Amino acid sequence: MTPRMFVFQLLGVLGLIVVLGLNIIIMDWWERKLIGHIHVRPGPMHTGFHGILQPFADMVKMLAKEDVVPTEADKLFFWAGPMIAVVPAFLAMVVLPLAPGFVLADIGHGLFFVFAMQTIMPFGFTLIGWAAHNKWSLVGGLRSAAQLISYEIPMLISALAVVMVAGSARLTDIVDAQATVWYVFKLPVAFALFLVTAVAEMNRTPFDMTEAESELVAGIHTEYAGMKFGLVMMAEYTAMLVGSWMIVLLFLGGWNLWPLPPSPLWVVLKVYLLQSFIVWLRGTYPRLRMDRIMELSWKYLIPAALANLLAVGVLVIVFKGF
Amino acid sequence: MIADHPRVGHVTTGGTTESIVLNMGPQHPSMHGVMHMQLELSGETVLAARPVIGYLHRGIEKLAEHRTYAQCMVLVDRLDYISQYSNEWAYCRAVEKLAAIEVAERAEWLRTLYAELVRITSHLLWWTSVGLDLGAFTPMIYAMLPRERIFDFFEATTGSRLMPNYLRFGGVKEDVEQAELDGIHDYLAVDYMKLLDDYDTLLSGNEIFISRQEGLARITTEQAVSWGVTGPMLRATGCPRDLRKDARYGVYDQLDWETQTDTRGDALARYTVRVKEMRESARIAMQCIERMPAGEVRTKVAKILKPPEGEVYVRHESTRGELGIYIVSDGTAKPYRFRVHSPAFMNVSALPHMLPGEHIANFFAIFGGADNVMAEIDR
Amino acid sequence: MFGEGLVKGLGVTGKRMIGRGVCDMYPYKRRVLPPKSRIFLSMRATPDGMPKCQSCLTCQQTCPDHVIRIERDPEDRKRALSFTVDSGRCTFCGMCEEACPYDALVFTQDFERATFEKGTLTYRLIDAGIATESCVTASAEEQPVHASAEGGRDAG
Repeated sequence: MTPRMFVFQLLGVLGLIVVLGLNIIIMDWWERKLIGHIHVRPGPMHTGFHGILQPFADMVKMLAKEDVVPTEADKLFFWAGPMIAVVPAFLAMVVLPLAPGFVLADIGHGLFFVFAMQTIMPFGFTLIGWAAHNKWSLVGGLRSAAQLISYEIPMLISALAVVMVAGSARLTDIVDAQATVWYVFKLPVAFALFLVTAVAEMNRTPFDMTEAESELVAGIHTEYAGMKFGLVMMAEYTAMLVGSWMIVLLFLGGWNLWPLPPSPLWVVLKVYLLQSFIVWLRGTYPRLRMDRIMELSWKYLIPAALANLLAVGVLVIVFKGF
Repeated sequence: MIADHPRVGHVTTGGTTESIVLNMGPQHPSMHGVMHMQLELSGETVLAARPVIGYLHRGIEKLAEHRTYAQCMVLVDRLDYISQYSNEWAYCRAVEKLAAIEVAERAEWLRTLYAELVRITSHLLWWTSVGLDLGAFTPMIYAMLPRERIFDFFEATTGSRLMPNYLRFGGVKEDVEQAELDGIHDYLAVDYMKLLDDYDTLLSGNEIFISRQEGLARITTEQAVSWGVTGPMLRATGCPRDLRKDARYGVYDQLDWETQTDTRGDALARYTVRVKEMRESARIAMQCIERMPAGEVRTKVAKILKPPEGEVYVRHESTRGELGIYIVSDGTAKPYRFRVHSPAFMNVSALPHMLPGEHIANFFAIFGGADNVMAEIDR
Repeated sequence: MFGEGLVKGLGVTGKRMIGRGVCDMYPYKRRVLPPKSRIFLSMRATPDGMPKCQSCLTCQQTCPDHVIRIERDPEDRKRALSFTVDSGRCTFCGMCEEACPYDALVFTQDFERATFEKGTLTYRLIDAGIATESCVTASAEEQPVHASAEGGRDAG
């Protein structure tokens, strides 16, 4: 590695951190605003024009708060849990491309790298739940472990259909293969399965079992205050960003918006439209029950994903280059 | 606190795991009021439930013994602060029966109107919490819109949104202008019904919601009667018990309406009965406005009322079930004994029978079906 | 069909997401309460500062929560020296207004009286036999009571 490349990559990593921070700032405001309008109320209005400075006010509030650590808590993992949750989400972003060639590491198995990183996240959530020494947190953490592990399987299987059709696991290749027809039209079943499982992986309503505020007070972050709580929120928002980004790359054509010329702008636009849709879901649906969530995954989603994989495989062999 | 629970620390399931005790409330964010529920859990399954009440005890029954009959009206408002007019009416009926006071005719119609409007607001508040308990935040905000509109009507006609102090022995405090009545009639007939349809689409038709409520905590009429459960909870088991028809008070017998029942007896049935009642109450209220006669709204009653010696018990269909008011008079201006039979208390005491074996996530779905108000239980 | 309700639910929320909100932006825009609304107790007085109160003590006896305290003039039984209202105890039931035989008591719609100390909730309507500024004078009463209270208040 030449020194020039090293500097370039270092700058790229710093850029990713900026993207991460910007996403949280935007989504924090946008989610409040959107949920507010769904609730026929204006949302934040006092801080700046239509509350645009609200995320900074939140940040100041979090920083100014006392950093409470429960006496009985496991000090190390209480501190490390949010990190373990947020770092893999951040690492997954390394392979996510914004435009052809505009990616930090364009590795040949980028898709599987993202899944590998997402597999680490449940450890973080479970540790957060366990370390706080609180019954609510513990139940939330265990629920999150069970849920995330169950939903990774159908998620990966439905993504495999995309890999089979595109003939590559490199994310840039997958996007390039969708220059005219997006995979959402070619593989609607895989898209539906992936969307449902991705929402579950993000811990969003109707699958927000880790929080479940009507049952578990605040779930895994019951005992978290101040900036540690901010870290947990950061992990959740980053997971949402990575999940939406994945859907956009795999099914919604990435930077392609035929017949318009490809542009990184489309990726950003699609990602935020998708995140808005997920917020809209939160504003509409009640929460599923834990056992029903597990049932949904093991009884319906995994068989459906496998059947879909088989059907797509047959189609790929029968009609070459489907 | 845990030590006095007989089963903790001893019960093991399968000989290997220990049960844990989870204190639901009184500071749980989605607990309705300051209710405290001790749940014994095996994993996420409830083994036993024990309601702990008394956090909101204000001594209303004792306070009433030191106030004149008229002054007690203020206390009765605060018994169940979500169905104020029902409480006031029950109390007024008790005192009127005790002192043999005649009620002005228009006042009976006004009382019926207000009792049905408050039934709507009470059920709307329950509807907000049903969604909230299952994780849907939006229904809470939506149902507040018609509720606030009806409260605006209350405020414009009786002077207070929540604590009206409007009913008087022998009538009501003051007459209501026809323009106000027409306004609320128009609202109920068009906008309110439209909103209810929307809300039905949002929650009642939602598959996630139905899957969470269907078949949950099913009870039979016999069980409900033996636990003393009344109101919509009893009607959801298929028993057409409604004191508005059975006890015959107000002008209900002159109006065209049906008792709403559902035969399934599960949480979804309890939901359906209340949603149906929201529409039926609006129908009753609209009929009241259409057919209300003109005339006086108050009969002459002594300022310091001294009922003759004796006792009286009055049953009343409050929004939550059978509200009983028992008064003993010793002939002075203050009641000798004032006692309330609370429907919410009876409904909550059925919970320990309904909860064991259920998933902890179902706790609030069942608990919300009881529609309790702690202020009435603790008094 | 499974999923129909889910889509329709999205329609209900989506329709409202685009539509207008219903909130009153409170500190910027104040609500005008209906004239029957019971907020704070006040007394009618003539423009020259004489209260309508005849010191009959009916309100003091009627009040369920002992909010009103009247000090009678020992020489003139129809004159109150002081009329104290402890609004921290008041439940706004309106029984005093209803009981007053001289139509002296009136409820104003001024609802912005939050304070940091409980003691400041006690105020006098009559001090040394003269109506205080908490009273409503006849000239002010011709306009709606709620619009005459202090503070720049928007019309609607």
